[in-house]
Amino acid sequence: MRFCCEQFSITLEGKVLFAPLNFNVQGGEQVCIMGPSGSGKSTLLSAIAGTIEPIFRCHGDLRLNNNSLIGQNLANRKVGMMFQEDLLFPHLNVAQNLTFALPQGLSTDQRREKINQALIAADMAGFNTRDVATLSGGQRSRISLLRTLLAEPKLLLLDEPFAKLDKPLRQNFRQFVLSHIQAAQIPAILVSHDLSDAEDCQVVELCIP
Amino acid sequence: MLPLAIGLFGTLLPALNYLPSLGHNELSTTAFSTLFNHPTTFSATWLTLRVGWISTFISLCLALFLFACFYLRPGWRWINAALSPVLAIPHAALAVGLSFVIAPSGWLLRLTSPALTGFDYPPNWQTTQDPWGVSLILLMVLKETPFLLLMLLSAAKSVPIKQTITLAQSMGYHSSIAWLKLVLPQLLPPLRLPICAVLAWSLSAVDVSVILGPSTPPTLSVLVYSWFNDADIALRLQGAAGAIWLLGLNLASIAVLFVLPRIAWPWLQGWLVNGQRRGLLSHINKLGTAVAVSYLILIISSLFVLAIWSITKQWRFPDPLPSQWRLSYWQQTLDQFSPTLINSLSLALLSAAIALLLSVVILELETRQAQIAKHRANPLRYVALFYLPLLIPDIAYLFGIQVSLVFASLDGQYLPLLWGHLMFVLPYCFLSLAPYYRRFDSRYWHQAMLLSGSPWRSFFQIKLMMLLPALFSSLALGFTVSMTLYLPTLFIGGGRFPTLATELVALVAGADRRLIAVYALLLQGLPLLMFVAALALPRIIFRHRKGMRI
Repeated sequence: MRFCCEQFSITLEGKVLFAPLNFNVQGGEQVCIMGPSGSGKSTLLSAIAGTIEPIFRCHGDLRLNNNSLIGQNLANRKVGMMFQEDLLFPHLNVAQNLTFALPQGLSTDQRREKINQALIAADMAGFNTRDVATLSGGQRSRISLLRTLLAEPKLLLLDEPFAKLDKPLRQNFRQFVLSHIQAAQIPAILVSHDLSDAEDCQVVELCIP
Repeated sequence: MLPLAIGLFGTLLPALNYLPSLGHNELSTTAFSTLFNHPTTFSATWLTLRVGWISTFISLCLALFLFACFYLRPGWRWINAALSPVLAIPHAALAVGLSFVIAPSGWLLRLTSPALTGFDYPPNWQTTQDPWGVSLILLMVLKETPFLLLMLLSAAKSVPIKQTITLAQSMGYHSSIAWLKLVLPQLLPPLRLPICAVLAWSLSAVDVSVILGPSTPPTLSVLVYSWFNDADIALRLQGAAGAIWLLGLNLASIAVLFVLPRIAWPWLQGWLVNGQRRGLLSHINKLGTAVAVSYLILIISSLFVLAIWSITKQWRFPDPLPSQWRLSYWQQTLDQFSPTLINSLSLALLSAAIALLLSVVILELETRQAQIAKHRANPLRYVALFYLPLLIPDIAYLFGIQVSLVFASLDGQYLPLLWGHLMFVLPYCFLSLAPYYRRFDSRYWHQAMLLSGSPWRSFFQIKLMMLLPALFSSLALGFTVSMTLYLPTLFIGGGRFPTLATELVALVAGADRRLIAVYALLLQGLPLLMFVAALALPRIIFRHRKGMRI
């Protein structure tokens, strides 16, 4: 798997947000996009995910496994995204949150099996019926990532997922994310303004023109 | 909006002497001249204006006063909790309850007689349906104050009240003067539309005026309504002219309401900055608790007296409580009048459900549109549109709608009636749901879409479920509004669909107090039940979900 960003830029009412971008990410690797606040980091991610508001215009190309993402609708993109907040659905319990992301057409047993495996991977076995509001910050982040991965995305986007966690948790969770990216062999794009997020990975700077 | 236009037009034409079915084919101002030559028109007009303006003014003052007294104090929690249930009391039921309390043979005098008053017989006073409309004004104040308080509450969210008061106090201003000079000028502008709605209702309410208002002359809306219903069908033209006259008064009053602040502003500005830090008003806030408590006592006793009357067999005058009790009135009512109950329930449930569905569709479309053109879509436009039926006296367009329905041979049928209810229920459903719907965090929507790839699943399983508490309370409000509709049910239903509201007002004219109490209790109990359910259901469904508590 491979994601390519070719001469990509975004304009808002004719104004360019950042200079055209060029980078490649291989499956199991991550690229860290850095830039000052307001440089359009989150907008870039929403353009890749397909949730960008129509007032923005995209130029250049985004290719996932040689298929262009531009113009594809959300459902066909198979892009997973983790936002700054974990956005766990407050009206569902842990297992229901995870089940929502599972592809349709699985049997009840298969679903249960997948969820139990995911919970074991997060060191949270037996948490199935817990209310998400009672989880700690670190647990919520892990469930949120697992939920994103259960939808079997071909590309993972992370919008400052570590910013809300305190220092020791952050290191821990970073490892957790990295190991899952490598296990799933999908490319990942991380947005951050924390320099320590950029260790041992390709860094792309967004420059305001 | 179309029915509104048709209705107004359909009233205007007969007012101009054009009603072919009665043989009037030429436009003229005869109807208006007979209207203005009628002996009671002007006294009724004067009464209507007096009652409408005085009750609106008192309600506004009372709401502002209670708000200023309690908003920053712990007592506010209680007032806040009491607002919704009080708003859910149908005004007709409250009017009946109030009349049972303050009437010469009412509870108030029964409790105090003969010990305090010395009366062994009900005195020959006129405390309900009094010629000055005092009891009517009292009822309107009881009903409108909580509505204005609720509107104040939402207006207050955008004003840093606490900081403002603290700042003013540090400059030596007394807190009540700081409220008047600094906080009120910020709170009043967003309150303009709600005040207009209150004024429009007080000027045109028919059902409560029949129950508590004076009869010689009655208020203009009741007068017009009696002309519409008169056996002499020629009076319908005069009625239409009267309805247009009422509409004119209403619009003029709203115009005054908009112009008044502009005229007063230059004078007020001088007073605002005159530097006076204390005044007579400095001590008035000590009365706040007394006012709030007496308000609540009046409301609760009005409801309680209904419950007592409904199970009374015999209750002689000075006794504080009935001497003999029985439940058979309930039995009798439920046996005899179950069609009434079914009409009320089916209309209320169906219209509330349809209104909720339409509100969700409109709001969802609005959300989509806002995404496409963020700068163009202005939600305020919709709000003004939805307020329109609330700002125009319903009698002014209901007659026109009735005429149009007769013309299309659709009068007296269930579907047009349901549609008529919808016209009134929809604005309330929409206005109560809109803030929650617009505030929904779109990132949850994006996350659900990215995870499932299915707009249907994201919409039904995530968005609607997260909004469930707001959907329930909007449904309950719609149900209440439909239950209380009196005039629309009579006009559009052609009198063929008796509901609790119409039967109650019809009974008040002379029936047994016990029977009236049963009806009033039913009319008031069902909406209350819906409100309790709307509050309790989300709590039960989401009892293990801390994140869903508001």
